Amino acid sequence: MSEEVKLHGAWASPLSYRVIWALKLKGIAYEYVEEDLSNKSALLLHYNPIHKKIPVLVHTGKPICESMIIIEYIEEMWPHTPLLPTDPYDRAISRFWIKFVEDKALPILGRMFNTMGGELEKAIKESLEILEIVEEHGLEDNKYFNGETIGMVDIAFGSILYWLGVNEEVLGVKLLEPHKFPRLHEWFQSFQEVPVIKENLPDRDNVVAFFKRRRETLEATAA
Amino acid sequence: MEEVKLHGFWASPFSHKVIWALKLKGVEYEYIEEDITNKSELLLKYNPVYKKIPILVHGGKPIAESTVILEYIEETWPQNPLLPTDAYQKAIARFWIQFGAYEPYFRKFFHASGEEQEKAAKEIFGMLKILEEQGLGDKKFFGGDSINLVDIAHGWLPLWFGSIEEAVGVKVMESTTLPRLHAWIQNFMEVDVIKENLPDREKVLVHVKKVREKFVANHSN
Repeated sequence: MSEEVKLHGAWASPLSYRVIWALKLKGIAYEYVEEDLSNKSALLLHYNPIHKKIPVLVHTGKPICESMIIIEYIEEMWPHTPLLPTDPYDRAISRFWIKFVEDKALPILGRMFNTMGGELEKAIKESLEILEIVEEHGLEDNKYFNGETIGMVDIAFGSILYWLGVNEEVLGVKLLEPHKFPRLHEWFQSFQEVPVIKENLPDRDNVVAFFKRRRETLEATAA
Repeated sequence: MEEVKLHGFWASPFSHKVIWALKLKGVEYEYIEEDITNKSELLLKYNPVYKKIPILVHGGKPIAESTVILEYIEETWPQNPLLPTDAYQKAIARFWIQFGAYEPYFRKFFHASGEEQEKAAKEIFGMLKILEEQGLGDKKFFGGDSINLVDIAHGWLPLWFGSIEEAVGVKVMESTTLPRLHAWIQNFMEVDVIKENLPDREKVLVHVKKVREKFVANHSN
């Protein structure tokens, strides 16, 4: 059944990659549409008039917004290679961590990137506390958050950690130190080795250069 | 059937969202009132990450975060469905559940004053306008003819946000400027399960005022 699946995304966005990973893990054919976020297309504004953001998944002409809501939809429409556990309690635990990532971990990226001096130091301190919570309570003894194979929580958190790495390079700081966060570090190494993830990441040099330029602009206007 | 317990707080809207969902599905449960100013060992054990209520405990296993609890209730007790069965409609419902939730401008509105508060009020109004026009539209409820998880998600607006408006002395939810929302509020508050499961409004207002005074006192230096 060839139902048109289109993904409107942006090459440097962690949220875009979440959806790409979900689609690829399930082997779903889709057309990718790159959006220029500095010059948003009429189509994007039509599909997401409220938030005007990517990613947007369009399935048989119907748009779905918000990366984790998109992935819940993908999970339901294409149930093979499940990205959530089957047991309702385990699913609740997964959704708890997905919400934690959205509410607590995702804002780390913006807070670090957009601040300087004392405020940046504060942002880093808060970010370390967030990582500590996941290290202590999130992983337990599983290889991945989803168990033996990666799932929605891994995808959600993996995107944040990858872009945290980009932030670290741009800002010249290091947060995810292996001796401080052994479990997280090991999980993240395994995550990046998963073929679908490994083969679907932005070019590291390009994405660091992209954010370096933006950071330089920010620092110039703040000075 | 395994035991269902809800750890809540009488003045919490999040607590009440879970009560409404359990009652709508006819799920028997034991309610345990938590003193959030003096948190119990059990609360801290059940929710070490946030240390907050509500917490649903089913067969001894705890679940925290009201939106997560509501999805769990929906999956575990499918009678009287509170989410659409169609995957696309479900995605739309989840969008509206998330819309306007936990936004920083609510805190600003509650805590700030003057220009900052005015700005927050404008942002809240903007959000509610979109909610009523595009989320609700011409429907009686977000769920159509009966309430669903989207109505429950925004169910804190009438009594709790209403109390905040009274406490700070600024009204955002005017019937003239937000007519659909106003109509929804009247209809929502008439639903039996809601009507019969609300805290005393005067008590909530006193509580909200106290919380605000405490915040202002702590931050006035």
